[in-house]
Amino acid sequence: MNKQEFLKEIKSKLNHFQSSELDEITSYYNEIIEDKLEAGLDEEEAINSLGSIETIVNEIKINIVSKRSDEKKTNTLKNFLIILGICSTPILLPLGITFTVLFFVMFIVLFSLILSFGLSGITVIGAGIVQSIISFATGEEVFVGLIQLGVSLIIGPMLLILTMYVFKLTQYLLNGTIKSFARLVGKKSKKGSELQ
Amino acid sequence: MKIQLKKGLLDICVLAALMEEDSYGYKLISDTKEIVEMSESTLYPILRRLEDNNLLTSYTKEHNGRLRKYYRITSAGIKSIQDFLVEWKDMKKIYDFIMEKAKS
Repeated sequence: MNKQEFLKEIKSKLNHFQSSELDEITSYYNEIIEDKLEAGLDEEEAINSLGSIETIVNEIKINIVSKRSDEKKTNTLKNFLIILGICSTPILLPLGITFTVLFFVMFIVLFSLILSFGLSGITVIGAGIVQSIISFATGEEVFVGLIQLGVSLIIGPMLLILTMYVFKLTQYLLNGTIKSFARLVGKKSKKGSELQ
Repeated sequence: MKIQLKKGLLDICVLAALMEEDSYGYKLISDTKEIVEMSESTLYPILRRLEDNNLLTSYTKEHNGRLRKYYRITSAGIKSIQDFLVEWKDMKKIYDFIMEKAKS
């Protein structure tokens, strides 16, 4: 394999990353290969000394994802799928399965929390308003209607704020899970490639 | 624990290798070869991380008709080396103690 083929292969295996990130990676490896050639190695030797493309590509993916999970706006599901994509070897498969289950259980639990808090918040506000309108319209128990409106306007927004916090917590937990997933995959795959 | 420790150490080693003069990828690997085995794919994320944390800066310079990326340590980078040396003074004391007891 020559240099151009090597760089092309890396590029094609990382095609779902931004081109600026890709350019930086390929120019780094291009420079290293050039320097190795200058030090007296031939092209084949220089490229072989870098290790397998698979290892290089996986390491890059893991690093990019763990960095991305720290960012505020991040595509959680995409990050997860990138790491999961690495887990196709027998050593990593159990880890992949474990984290898929963990990830979806967490997602479902937290999503139901968000849904129930959010919906009850909206329902409480809605019910309060409807109740008070009825009591005003009929002229009966206006005082009770007012209290109901007041209470629902306090509790409802509180539930909605709580929903927002659970939402943030969800993002935080899921991204944290992905990060530790990435770290574990990194450790295990390194061990695996040492064994080979 | 061991891996975590080594990871932080590599960062400091790379910074230390930049103390004398600015350097580039291939040279950084050869300069640290004797004390740590660091592959090209290990160095790359370290350089990115150090640059993101402003412990080093990079610039490109022409070399033999091509561009090479050079890295320069920042004042924050120098400070992190000094912090490391202070922290590890105690570690060295412990090491010396264990060494001394192990000998006797």
